[in-house]
Amino acid sequence: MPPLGQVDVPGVGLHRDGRWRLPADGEAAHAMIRERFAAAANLLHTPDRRHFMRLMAASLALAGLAGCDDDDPHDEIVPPVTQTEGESPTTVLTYASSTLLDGFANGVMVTTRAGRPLKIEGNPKHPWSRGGTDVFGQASVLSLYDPFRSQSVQFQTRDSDLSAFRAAMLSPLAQLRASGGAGFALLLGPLTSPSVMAQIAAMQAAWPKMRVFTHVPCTREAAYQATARAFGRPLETHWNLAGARTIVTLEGDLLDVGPQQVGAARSWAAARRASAASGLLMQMFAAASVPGLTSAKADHGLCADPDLVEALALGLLARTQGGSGPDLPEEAAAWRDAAFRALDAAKGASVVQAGLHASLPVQEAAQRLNAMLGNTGRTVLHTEPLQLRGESIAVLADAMRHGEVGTLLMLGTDPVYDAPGELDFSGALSRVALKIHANLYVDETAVYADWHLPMVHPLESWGDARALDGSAGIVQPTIAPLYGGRSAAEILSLLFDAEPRGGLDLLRAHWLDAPGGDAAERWRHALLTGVFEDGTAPLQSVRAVAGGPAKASPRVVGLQLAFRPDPTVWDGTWADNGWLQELPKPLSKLVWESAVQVSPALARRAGLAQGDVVTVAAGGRSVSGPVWVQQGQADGVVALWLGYGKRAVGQLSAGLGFDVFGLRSATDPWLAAGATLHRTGETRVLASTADHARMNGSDVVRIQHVGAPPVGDGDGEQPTLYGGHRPDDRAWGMVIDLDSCIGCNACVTACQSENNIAIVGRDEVLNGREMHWLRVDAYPVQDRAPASAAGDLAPLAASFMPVPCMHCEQAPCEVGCPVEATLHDHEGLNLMVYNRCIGTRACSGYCPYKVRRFNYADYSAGAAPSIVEQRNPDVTVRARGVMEKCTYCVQRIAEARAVSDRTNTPIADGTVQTACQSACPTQAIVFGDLAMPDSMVSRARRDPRRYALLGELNTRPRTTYLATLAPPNRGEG
Amino acid sequence: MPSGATQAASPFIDAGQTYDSIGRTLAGIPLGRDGWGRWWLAVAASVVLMGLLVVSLGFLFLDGVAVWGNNVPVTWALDIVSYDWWIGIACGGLLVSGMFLLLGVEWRGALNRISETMALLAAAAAAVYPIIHLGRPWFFYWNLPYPNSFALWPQFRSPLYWDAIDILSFLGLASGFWFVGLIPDLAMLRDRATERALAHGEGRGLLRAQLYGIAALGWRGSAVHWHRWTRAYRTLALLGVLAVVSLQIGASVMFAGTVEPGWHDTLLPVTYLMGAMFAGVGMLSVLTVILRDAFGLAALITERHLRVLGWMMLALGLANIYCEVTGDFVTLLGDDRYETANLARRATGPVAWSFWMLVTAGFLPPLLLLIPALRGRPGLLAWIGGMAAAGIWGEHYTLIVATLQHDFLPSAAQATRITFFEWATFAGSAGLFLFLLLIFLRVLPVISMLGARMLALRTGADRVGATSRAEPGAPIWGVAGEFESAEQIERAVSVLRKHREWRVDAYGPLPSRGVSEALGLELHGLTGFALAGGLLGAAAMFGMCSYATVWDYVFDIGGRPRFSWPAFMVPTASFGCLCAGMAAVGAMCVLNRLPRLNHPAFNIPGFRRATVDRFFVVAHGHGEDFDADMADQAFRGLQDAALTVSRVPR
Repeated sequence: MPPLGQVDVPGVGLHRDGRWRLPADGEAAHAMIRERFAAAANLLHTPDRRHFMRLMAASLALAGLAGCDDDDPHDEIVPPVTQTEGESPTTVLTYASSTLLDGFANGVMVTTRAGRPLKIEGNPKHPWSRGGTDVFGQASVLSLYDPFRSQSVQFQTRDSDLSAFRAAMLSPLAQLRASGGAGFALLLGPLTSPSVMAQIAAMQAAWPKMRVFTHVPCTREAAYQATARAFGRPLETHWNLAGARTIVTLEGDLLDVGPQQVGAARSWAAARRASAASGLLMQMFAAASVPGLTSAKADHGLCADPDLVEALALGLLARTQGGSGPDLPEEAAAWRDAAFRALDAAKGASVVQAGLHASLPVQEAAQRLNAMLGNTGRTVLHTEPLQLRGESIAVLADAMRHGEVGTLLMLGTDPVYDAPGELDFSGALSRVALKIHANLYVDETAVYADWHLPMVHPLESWGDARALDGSAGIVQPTIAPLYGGRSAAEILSLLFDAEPRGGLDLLRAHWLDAPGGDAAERWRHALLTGVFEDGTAPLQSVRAVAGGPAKASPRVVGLQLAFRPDPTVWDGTWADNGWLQELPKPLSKLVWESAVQVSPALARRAGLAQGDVVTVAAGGRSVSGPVWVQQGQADGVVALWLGYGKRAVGQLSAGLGFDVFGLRSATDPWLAAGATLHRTGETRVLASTADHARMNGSDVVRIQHVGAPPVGDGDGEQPTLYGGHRPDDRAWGMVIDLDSCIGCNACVTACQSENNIAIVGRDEVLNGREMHWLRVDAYPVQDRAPASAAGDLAPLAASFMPVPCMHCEQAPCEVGCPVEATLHDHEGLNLMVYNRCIGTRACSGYCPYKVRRFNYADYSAGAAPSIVEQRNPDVTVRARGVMEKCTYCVQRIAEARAVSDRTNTPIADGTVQTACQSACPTQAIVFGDLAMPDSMVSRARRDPRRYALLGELNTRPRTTYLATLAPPNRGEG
Repeated sequence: MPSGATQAASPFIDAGQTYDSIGRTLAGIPLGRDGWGRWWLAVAASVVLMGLLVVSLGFLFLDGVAVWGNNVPVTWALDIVSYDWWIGIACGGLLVSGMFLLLGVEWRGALNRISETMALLAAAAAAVYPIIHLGRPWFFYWNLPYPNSFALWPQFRSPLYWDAIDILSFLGLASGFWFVGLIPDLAMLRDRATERALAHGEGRGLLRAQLYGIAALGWRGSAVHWHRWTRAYRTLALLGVLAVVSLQIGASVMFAGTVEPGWHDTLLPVTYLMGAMFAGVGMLSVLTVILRDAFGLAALITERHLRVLGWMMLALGLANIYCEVTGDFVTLLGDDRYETANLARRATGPVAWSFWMLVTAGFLPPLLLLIPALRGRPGLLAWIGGMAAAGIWGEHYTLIVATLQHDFLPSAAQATRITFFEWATFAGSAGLFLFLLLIFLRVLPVISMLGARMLALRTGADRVGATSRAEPGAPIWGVAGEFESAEQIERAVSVLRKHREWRVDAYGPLPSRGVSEALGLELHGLTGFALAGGLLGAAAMFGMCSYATVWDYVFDIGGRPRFSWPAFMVPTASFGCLCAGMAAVGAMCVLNRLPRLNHPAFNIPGFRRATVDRFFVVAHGHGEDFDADMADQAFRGLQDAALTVSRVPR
């Protein structure tokens, strides 16, 4: 089927106006009906009245259902009219689209089957993501089917409908039109859509007195302001790490979850691999107050309070300018000097990166450093700010309080939940006469609004969005809206346009009316590749303006609260997604909850243990939550995670964790000073999926120092008594590069999505029964910590290790099973035959890697019907009492095998991609046929870094690892 | 074989005991009216526990294994611990009883019934677990090689399959051994119950006697029967011992055959066997002391018995310590960091309590028995026995859970907790054991009457013989003489056998080698059947395993060779033993023409005492022409005068 909206069938089709047309010629029409609607063809010739009535009754019943949705301005989604040869309704169709995080696009391919979007895959043609995905993109397919999404228009929390809403709007809109939008305020959530921005601009032109506000909980304002100070105008920053040799991150989030993650991680991994091959490892320096993936993957970490990070940033800037910078503690000074030397040696081939949450001076110093080192324009690139920037929510609250807002439209945002607490947004809201709210969920704000409108999910609507590099991606619907709803563009059109227009119409109008080029071709290109040609925001060449970052802020007495987006639910946008709730946070491995994260030293001083419930207070507000003690966290900082403590009734997220937005301030949203911490005396058992033990000297994770002798296993195999019969056919295998793995978890969610893996909930996680087939272990790597730092203040250098089933050639598990429910096939797969399994659990006990998962209860049963729709029809849904585990996505192998048998051609290397492999933004996972000597996986297996996990057991795993890289040993210089 | 009249009193029995008093004491427990109040209380307690089992199993079947604390990685916890513990006790019980018999220990009678019953009932309690611990218990039979339309076979290399066969074999052999040993006692009970019923004129009592009679298969104590019975009994003892070894090897290889630290250990089968015997003897001590006290059996279970138990517990306790310490020493000697870490975690990890339970309950209390004065004290013995059983429970828990909760990768480590339902199920299995035990106590003699009599001095017998004759004119089957001792009938048989035209048989409450020899019975037949059955069964099992894995159902299982013959040995041995046992029992019954509830011998006047304290010799003809008068004369001419001589109607 061609992409929707591009139906192109001779004789029948969808008009530009969305109506069906039949050939005018009666004979041709009959022929067409016979051809396309075989079931109805007999009606043409045999006027069998009863049959006709029966058909009509069915049609009328369906029409009745359709009539339930009385929303008028709607795009038609039609089933494919033509059936391409060799296609069946179950054929997999993929659409290029974008998943969104904070309005930023990540280019993806959406896999659909039988009209249902089932799986998100990477889009290799997308210039920024280049085939990578992140957890949010992977999990978005579950949110689509979420039965708790908003499903109807509500008036004062009672169900209503769109026509009532439109009727109610007639007089307010007339007034607004008359007054030029006086008293009308539009509050938007994070948004990068060029078409919607154009729409808003058009609105503003027509209604000059309307005001536009934006509210982005994970705000990028500091970065915009920093560029404004450094270069004279606000800019968006992204990176091209090809050829880079040094990266210095200051509170960096290069590899952490966020809009930058997929593209930056991809670029980082490629550069790291290339540099390792050349013998000169690209090294990363990271100074961070709260450890994250970036600081964990750094070669030279430093655990620093926010003011020390500022001092480091200013110090680096001073040294680059020839000065010496402020006095620093010995260890920090050593780090600064080492980082400076590395930057100095790699001018034009380095990056200084400051994260979203770094303070303004740090951000500005980073921008200025890049400019001075000649990185700007080479490795560090700028575009105009991509997110819509309206007035701030603080201004809006103020305006509301002063009665300046008569009508407020809140679009895709939940300010009652996530506005800074000091604004008392809900209080201010009560001063607004007409409050209209539209969002995916009936959230906290919906309760305060007069009108609530359901919005559509990106997988069921037309739209566009920019990736961080400025490219404009398309958002394509892959299914008709499940619960009705409107996109932001459609809602704006509903209010503003005389005749409301559909999303497709609005989108096409925006992109096809653009000057130059072949409009139809541009559209076609966007549908096929996911990106609008010529739509990319142009790179800006910039010059630093005179000045320098503000002086380091005075040292703060007491604790500071550092706010961070949660690694799995972000700012709460994803809090209702079960996959993401049960996804272990990369470092703490916590699930289903948030914690007050403190350093080991602070915990010891305050007498706090893991799980002690504390009250955190700052600025006269307080919140209580359990303590999580985290190695690598700066001593003076308490980290709090956004996105928890939601209160909307009846939602998955209700009651999980605690809400920290109340402690945030509008002026400095990422840091709050003067905080206090008090024990409440209560404790809470925290649900964490992994024991945080160390490797205890074993070589679970091997480290390859560049230039040192190889640490891999080499070619030799241990002897065996079993004869070791070689497979006579393909030999599937996997190699995972531990150096490239950044612990982002995209693979875990991809696996969950592909393989119908059940979520079990917090209680069952506490019971140790989580079901993930693939887990990402995090091991502290001592080699990467600086020698001087020790104990509590040592940074957390971690190596992440995805552990799927090893598909051992001499599998211990198989011997245990008394019913042959787990056994090997001729291609070396360790199979699991669910319907043969009786649940002795012997296989799991025998597995040295403990990668098997058991359905202790009927976890998959009782799912909402809509959730069931998401399941992959190729993968058995496991019943109670059955063991399961990673299958190397055997369904994908089987499909490739079937094609290969049908076409009598061998399966080419790269044809079969496991879900984890294709999701990985850094391409850390290679999968393929080991019997093929030049396959990717065979080549990776010959890498001298390759080793088998627990290889001494001689289980001969098919999944093996490449040792993580490290700079040359100090002795070797 | 000892015989009543001449044997001096054994130190293993109270001096005053006679055949009759033993019979009265022991048969009085099931047949009498004493102690029913306490019994009902105990039954009520066991029924409550069984109710707990029913409820917890209800929840288990409803919600799945999720009601337990098992998780990943601790996929096996209290379920398999309990199974191993119960089956260990069962094995210990059977092994001890079987070894006593094979070693010809004459005083075993006081302990063997308790021991075998405990073995059987503990096996029943254990047998609950392999089914209910499954994720899908309703498919438990998939573990067995039953004919099915999908032509599926079990995976014969799996110790779990061995275990299924082992349990079946064990249950078969244990119940066979138990029952064969019980047949003479059942006959005695039949006769006692008949007497009581006749004396009291109870209809119900007669019914009861009939039931005992059916259960006794019509046993009448014929010397020929005794001869084959002895053979079958000893054969079963040997097979039981072999099956126990096979079962414990299978159960331990379920762990030792893996690569897991703490499990992968060649000493484990020995440790398992020792632990099983230790726990078995410990539990036996507990039961023996309790029953001895409850039913006033001090005359039959003497201090000498208790001292023997004390010695055994001391020896097995030391052996158990030796196995554990050797294993740990070897672990420390090796440089495997996972093994060493596992050892450390056993002692200090989250389940260290179970390890220290082993040390404090399993290792230390038996050492008290080094003091000779303490060995015969019943209370202390019961306490040490209970401790031993608890210690072995701790050993199983440590072994299984300490390894599973943290084997190799620290990331996969996960503690576990024991839920209410796990305890409830365990308590319920104990309730089942207790309930069945209580039923047994009220139905069957708690001590082998036969065994006790073998030790007893036959005194206090009256010399009054019943004098009754056959109805004139009734067809005569033979002439019977009633005697007081086995020696007398031995001599009588030797004389009477000279009359070639007669067929001579002897009846008595005890097997007697002398009588067998006098009758010219040879020791053959039964062993051959058992051997043939065993070889056939073993060959069938081995052949099935090989056929399926080599030809019919070929899969790559863990890269193992198709013909994994070592993996087939355990089920082969177990199943061979079972088949041999079945052949032995079958042959005994068929050759003895049992069951036969009606036999002319029962017409002998006073024959009921043949199961108590009287010996009968019968001479009867081969065909119709039997000269009863001549036989009468022959009897009266014997050196030892018969108490009575009677013509027995057909």
